[in-house]
Amino acid sequence: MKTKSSLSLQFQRPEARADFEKARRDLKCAETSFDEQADAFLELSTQLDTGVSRAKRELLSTSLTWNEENQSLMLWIHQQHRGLLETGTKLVQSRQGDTRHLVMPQLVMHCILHWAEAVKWGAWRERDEYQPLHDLYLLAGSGRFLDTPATIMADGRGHTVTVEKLYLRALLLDRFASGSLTRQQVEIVDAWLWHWQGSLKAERAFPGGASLRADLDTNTGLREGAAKSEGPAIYVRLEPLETERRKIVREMHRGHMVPPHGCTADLRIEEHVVVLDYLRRALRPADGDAPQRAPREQQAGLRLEVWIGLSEILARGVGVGTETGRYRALQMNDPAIEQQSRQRFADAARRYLWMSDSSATGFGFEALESDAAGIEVGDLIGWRKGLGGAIILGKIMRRMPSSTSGQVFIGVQLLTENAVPMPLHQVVTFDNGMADGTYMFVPGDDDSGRHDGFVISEKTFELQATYNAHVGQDHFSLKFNRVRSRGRGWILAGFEIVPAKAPDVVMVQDLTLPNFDFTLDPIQLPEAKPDEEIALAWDRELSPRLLA
Amino acid sequence: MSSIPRPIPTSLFGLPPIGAMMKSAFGAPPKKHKPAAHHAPAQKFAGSWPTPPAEDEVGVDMTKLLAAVKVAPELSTIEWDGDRSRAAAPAAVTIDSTATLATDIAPEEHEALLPSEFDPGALDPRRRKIRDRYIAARFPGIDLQSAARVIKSARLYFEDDQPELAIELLDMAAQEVPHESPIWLARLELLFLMRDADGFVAAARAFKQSHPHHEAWSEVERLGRALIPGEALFGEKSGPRDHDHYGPWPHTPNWIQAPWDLTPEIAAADFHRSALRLAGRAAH
Repeated sequence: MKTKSSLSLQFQRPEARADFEKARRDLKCAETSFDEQADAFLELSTQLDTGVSRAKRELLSTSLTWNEENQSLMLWIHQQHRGLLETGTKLVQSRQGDTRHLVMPQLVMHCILHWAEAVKWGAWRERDEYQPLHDLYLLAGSGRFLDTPATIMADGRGHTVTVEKLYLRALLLDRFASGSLTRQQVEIVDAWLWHWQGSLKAERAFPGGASLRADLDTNTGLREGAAKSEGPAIYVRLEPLETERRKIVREMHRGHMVPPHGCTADLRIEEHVVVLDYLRRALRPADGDAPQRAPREQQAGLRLEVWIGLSEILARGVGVGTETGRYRALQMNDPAIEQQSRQRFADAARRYLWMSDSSATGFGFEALESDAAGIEVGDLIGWRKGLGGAIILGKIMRRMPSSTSGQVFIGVQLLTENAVPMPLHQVVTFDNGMADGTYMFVPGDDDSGRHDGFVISEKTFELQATYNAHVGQDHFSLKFNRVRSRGRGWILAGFEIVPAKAPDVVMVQDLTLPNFDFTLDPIQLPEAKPDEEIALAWDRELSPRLLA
Repeated sequence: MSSIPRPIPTSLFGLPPIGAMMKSAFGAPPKKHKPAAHHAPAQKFAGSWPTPPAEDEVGVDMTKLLAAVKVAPELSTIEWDGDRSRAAAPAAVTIDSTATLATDIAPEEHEALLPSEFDPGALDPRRRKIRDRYIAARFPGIDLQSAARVIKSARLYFEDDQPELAIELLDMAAQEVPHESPIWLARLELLFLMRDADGFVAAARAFKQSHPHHEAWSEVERLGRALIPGEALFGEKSGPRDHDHYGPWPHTPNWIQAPWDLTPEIAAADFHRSALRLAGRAAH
């Protein structure tokens, strides 16, 4: 078995990963004493954390879609945490419930830590086994070290925590890393959970209000509401977490990043804002007994061509900006132009998803990994409702890969089933109309139009320009004035109708202007003295000669 | 300790400084290093001045010059007009008020509002940048210096069932331009409309402290008495009189600047109808 000093922790390099993996497997097969195995486990655990904390800064700093190397590193980290969790659990189980050994609290803590890290680095659709996690918690309870503080290395830093706080952090992380956040955003949530350790408290009785429940005798994660069975359960109140979230908002106002260290402090503030919004929704109390989502209807795998992003929707769904590759022709109805534009995008560049279910508020899709490449949470997605039908627009809310089948499951929130491409012209332009464009009108469900909007780019919104719209025989001037929803590079902007033109100039007939004649008052000049002598040329403004 | 030999320093194009090597090889005497304090330059006023004659006609002492360059010049502090503009803000109109200001204010409730406790203008550049980027990400396209734009945006957030964002926007704008009383008043009205009694009291206290003699304070008191009867901050306990208002709730002063003109609302309905008609034609 390699010692600590001989292991390289540069996990970006394949040989370092191979060395660590070999050391972990050696430990798994080792037949030494419990104490030696426990020491080696804790040492490997700390080394994995140190190496990952070094590697993930580079991994998370890119806002681009991860390449295959990034994906393989992520998968490797997930596997190592799973492997160490397995080894640690076996070590704990080898004591057969005896918790008197000094190293047992450390072992339990590290097992819970690896469970949470494995969830974080491998948010698959197939959820992890929760029962081993609950068993570790129950074991710590029986050993009376649930609330015993101890220092543990996480993210390259020492944290003083308890088993209970680590357990709650693991369950909350599992709930939040369910495909609704990107990797960077999950990392921010995790950093905040470490920061909120003081607010993570388990209660044995249902506290009411906004709270989550863990049934310790079932293989499930956190659930809402009071327990329905007689089995042991614990509750975590969400109100203190909401208070902590508001503190972060306040710190942002003061120009502080929370936490001020670690790789999350270097992530874009937009990512932090997305997480703040997500947590605001996640931490608010459930709306009584009302169902959290609309009833879903199975769709039996309806295959659809979809477009991702505003520009792709406009280009392929609407045909805006489609290059024909030909010179401009006088005959605009030449069928060759249309044919050329259709051939422009071959099947290889198209994406096809299978609609698995739908509801009044959204859709569920399944896709091959190749088709889902580049699709991220927050993207705008569009497709046509049948041949020649209206364009449907949605926002990608969840993206969860399967751990085995090579499929990706995508959840889409419906924005509209009847998007209308509409050309808008800027009222004031400095580029001869080049800024004019086609935008997707999203009609609201209210006939008054107060919920209507346009899907536009972020830059278009920041222009705060006024646009003219010609809708049939009617002409309107409108201005985007609010953000109704937003995602990666797009905004669903509300708008207001502004007066179409300036008020007419009033023509005044027989206008008589006032008399502007003016007269100069005579200046009283001093009388000239005949015998006056001028000492200096500048003593007087006018010489006696001129005054004469 | 590293065992790699240190390379000879090279000059331009990688050539070694042969002259320096020869000099050191022939045992040239080391340069005298005088204390830097002796080389401190005399105070010199800004501007261009005649070059004084050289003290020594033999040549320029480069060591002396370089030592002088290393000494940081003693510059006077720069006074920036931007700091004064805040103090030069128009003072609020003085009126008499019977309300008493409670001093036992919980600091956490409204500390973000009090400019005396938090001044974004005093942030260091890094924190200022973080704050600005947060504002840009949270409230795109909104200039916090423009009170009218801020109030309108806050009203729109409120109408779109996002009251938390509306209040946050007004909070940040009040921090940026604390002398703009319309922002504070709009915040008070929104809190009143949200029936947020605790928030209203805290905001009213902060407003009273920031604008102690504002002419709108009597209106704030009236709203406060309606929302929290008996609160000492809003004067004596008294309900609305019969002739004040005949509706179920006291009328609001429209500090959120809701437009009275309904023409744009009608135009929006027309636009909605025309767009759907266009969509129907396109689908067929």
